[in-house]
Amino acid sequence: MATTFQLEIITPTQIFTEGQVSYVRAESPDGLFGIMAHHTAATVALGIGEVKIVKDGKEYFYATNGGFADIQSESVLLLLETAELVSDIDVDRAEAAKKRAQDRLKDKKMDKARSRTAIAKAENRLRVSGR
Amino acid sequence: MANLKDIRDRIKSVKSIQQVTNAMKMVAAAKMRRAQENMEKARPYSSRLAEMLESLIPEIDRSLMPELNIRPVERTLFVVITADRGMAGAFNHNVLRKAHHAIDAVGKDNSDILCVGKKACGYFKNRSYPIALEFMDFWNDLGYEHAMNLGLEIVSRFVKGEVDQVQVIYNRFINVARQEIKNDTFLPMSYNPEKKEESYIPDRLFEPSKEAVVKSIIPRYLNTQMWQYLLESNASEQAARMVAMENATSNARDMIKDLTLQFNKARQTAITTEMLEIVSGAEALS
Repeated sequence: MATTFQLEIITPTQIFTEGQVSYVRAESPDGLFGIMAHHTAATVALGIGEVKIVKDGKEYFYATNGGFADIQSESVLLLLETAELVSDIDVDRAEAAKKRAQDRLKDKKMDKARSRTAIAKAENRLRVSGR
Repeated sequence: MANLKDIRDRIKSVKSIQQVTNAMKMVAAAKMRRAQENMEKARPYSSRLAEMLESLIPEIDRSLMPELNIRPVERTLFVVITADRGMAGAFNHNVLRKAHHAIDAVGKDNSDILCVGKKACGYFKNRSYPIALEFMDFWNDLGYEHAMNLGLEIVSRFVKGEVDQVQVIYNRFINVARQEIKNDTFLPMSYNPEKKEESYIPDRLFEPSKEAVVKSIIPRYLNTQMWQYLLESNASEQAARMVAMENATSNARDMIKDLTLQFNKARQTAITTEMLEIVSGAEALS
């Protein structure tokens, strides 16, 4: 029985075809969950977080702003609003975005919830970039 | 008849204008291609989301989704998408005229305007229309995050009840020579309840729940629509600019031809006059 499955990551600007992978771990709003081969068909909402992929024994990390995992027993499709491979993350930009959002949080006129989301996105990038 | 030096100077200046318009044409062509590529790339993602949404929406309670909420329309938000720069023929003007009509139809006291692109900002500011938000200076490095910011902004206004309807006025890209002005209703979101694809639903696990999945699909789907609008407008802008610059280049070519003819005529006249003077001078001496 095959222990790998087909993985594809689709974002609005790019498609990453990962090929056969053995394990995917992503973050749903309720916590981390992992997918291995022969998973039951499911649709899972993903939040801001990291996506870990194990392919040929090597680990790869993506930072994402969330999206969906569309799981079939032989293949998994990740529909993500943004996906950045660790090496593509621009740390300086993430730092700047975090600072900007923190300034906005202090400004009473600005939408608090949105500033918090922006901070979470930036922090996630920074966290994943350390992988 | 104009003297030789004047004509020579004019030819020179027309030639340098031609060089500029020709360069702008090439740049526009390259940018248009990139916009079209982006449109291609966005398709798998957005069609997949639409598919999920269409199969799930009939299953859930509509009233839970604020984006689907149809209310009596008191205030309308107009999203007017123009470019940051001109030099693109009637591109900006067409959108602005259509937007102006649409806004006047509901009355400017009942509308908010969200200006995308410098041209829209300038136009409505000059006419002191109510501008809710300006969004400009981003076309050069257009990215998906712009669509997300814009989508978030618009959806939050609608969900909070600040506006009851959102209309987007933009240029739709048909082909290089043709763009169409469209006025789409962005919110409340419409969907086709008839189209029920059974294939997706059976034996599926939804995590955390069907409702939660739909709830998070909707805003993301709206973002892809916004992205689509921006890309259509971007491709149209570049196409319009390309055509306008092509025309300008060929006009310059015609002008250079005319001026060269004029120049040769003037030169010939000058030579003839000079020869006449020499001949008559020689005759007077003999």
